[in-house]
Amino acid sequence: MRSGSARVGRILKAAVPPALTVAGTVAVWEGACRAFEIREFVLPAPSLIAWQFVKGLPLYLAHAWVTVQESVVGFLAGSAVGLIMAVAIVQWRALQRSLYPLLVLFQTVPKAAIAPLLILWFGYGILPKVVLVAILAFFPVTVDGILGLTRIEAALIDLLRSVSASRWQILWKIQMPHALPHIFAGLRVGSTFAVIGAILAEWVGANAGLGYLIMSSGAELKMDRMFAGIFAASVLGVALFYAVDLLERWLLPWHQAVNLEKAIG
Amino acid sequence: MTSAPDAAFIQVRNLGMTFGDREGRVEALRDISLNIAEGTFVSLLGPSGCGKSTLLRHLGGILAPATGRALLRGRPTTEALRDRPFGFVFQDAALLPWRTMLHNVTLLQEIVHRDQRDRAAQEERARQLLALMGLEGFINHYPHQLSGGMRQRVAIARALAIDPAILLMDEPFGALDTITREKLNLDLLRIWEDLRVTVVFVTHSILEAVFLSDAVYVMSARPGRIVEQVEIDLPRPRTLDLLESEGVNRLARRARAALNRGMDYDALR
Repeated sequence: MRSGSARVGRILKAAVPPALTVAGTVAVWEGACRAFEIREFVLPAPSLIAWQFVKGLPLYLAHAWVTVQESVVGFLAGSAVGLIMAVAIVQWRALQRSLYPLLVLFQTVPKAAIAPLLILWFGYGILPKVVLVAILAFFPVTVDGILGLTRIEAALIDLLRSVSASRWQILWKIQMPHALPHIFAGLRVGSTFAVIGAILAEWVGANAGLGYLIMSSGAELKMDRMFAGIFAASVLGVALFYAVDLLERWLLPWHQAVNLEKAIG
Repeated sequence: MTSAPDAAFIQVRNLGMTFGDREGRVEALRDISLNIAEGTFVSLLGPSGCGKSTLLRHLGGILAPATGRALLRGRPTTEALRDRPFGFVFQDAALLPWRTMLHNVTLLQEIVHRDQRDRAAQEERARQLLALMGLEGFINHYPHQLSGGMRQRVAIARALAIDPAILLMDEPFGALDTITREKLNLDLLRIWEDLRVTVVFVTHSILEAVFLSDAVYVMSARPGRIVEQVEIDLPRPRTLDLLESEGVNRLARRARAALNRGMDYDALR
């Protein structure tokens, strides 16, 4: 067991370089804005953005809450659909031949191009945003899920055949647990798309949400508010990503250990 | 072992197997015939790619022969499979990384006996078998925490957990170092004598085959055929100092000569 202080030391060691990079970038930005007297509506200084963020915190929280709902609900729905599709495609060979090529084709359609269509179909509310997020989030889960469900050791398959295991027993006892780390890889990729999808849909048609706030601030040339909105949106994206990461650590401790073992050799 | 106490236990008659499609066909096995008596320890010895693993899969009913028959007590092994008489151990332990040793051992029991009420009895049996394999201290460890030899012991315990009539082992110790391998050979013999299970053991090590078995079937290069059946009349229980003995050397020479003949089988004709 490693001691608490060693652990703190390790975390500090990991956190210091990125913190320095961020601090340096902000300092250069702040310095440049002041030194070259860059106009506020071109590029506001970080201090101004921060002030705007603190001053308008309730506003940002209100808009962020809308975006959080859209992205989280859409992400969960998309992931569930993605997982069901992966299982269905692996269980029924006919689907693999018919559905899978269609999915790949669909994935190549630019999602920004469907956003206006979704607004037309589902109106101005939360639904079109949830649908767009789900469309963006399901594909990586499906692809990685299929990978995890099918790449089972040959010896294990022979072993299961030798006891006449049913396909459902194989699915629950072997394929699903084996696929979980792969599914989480897909979820992590999907989580980064979720906030992007929500913002995108808000641009096309919304009266609330961070995407709406960014768009309307831009139209009014309120650059500090726009930047504060962008900042809030990226915080959301990072938070969602690490939430998935934490969930994986909590649910699959054995997988972390296996990885570490492989890394050490 | 005395000759043929129960010759009809496992019977293979003129078995042949071909893989592939019209594009390219590979003949893996040709005209294999053999008998394995109940309770004996038999090895299939042959060069890499000679089809000995394929033959083992025919014996275990997970592969149907193209021609000829593989029978267990007179029934095709592919049918006998339903009664789960076969316990497989492969070169790769193929343990589930998300399960502890205990629950890796209960895996096949869970599949065979679907009733969840048996759970406690299954775990008790798994504990016994892990103890038999010398792993009582590692019941709650995960596969990545164990050495290759220990993992292979768990794989053996897992196969034994469904009380198979036949233990089918496909180069189970092929990836292990010599010291671990010899230790596992001894433990396997001890378990075999304890449980009186029939063992069919695939290997490409002449000494391992001679040391363990009652009979060694030597196979030719592809397509695999039986070149010779070497009866191993060494006393039991066997100990490692036997490996230095003249008896082992004599039998190993015979097996090696048969192997060499098998390598040139096609050239000679």
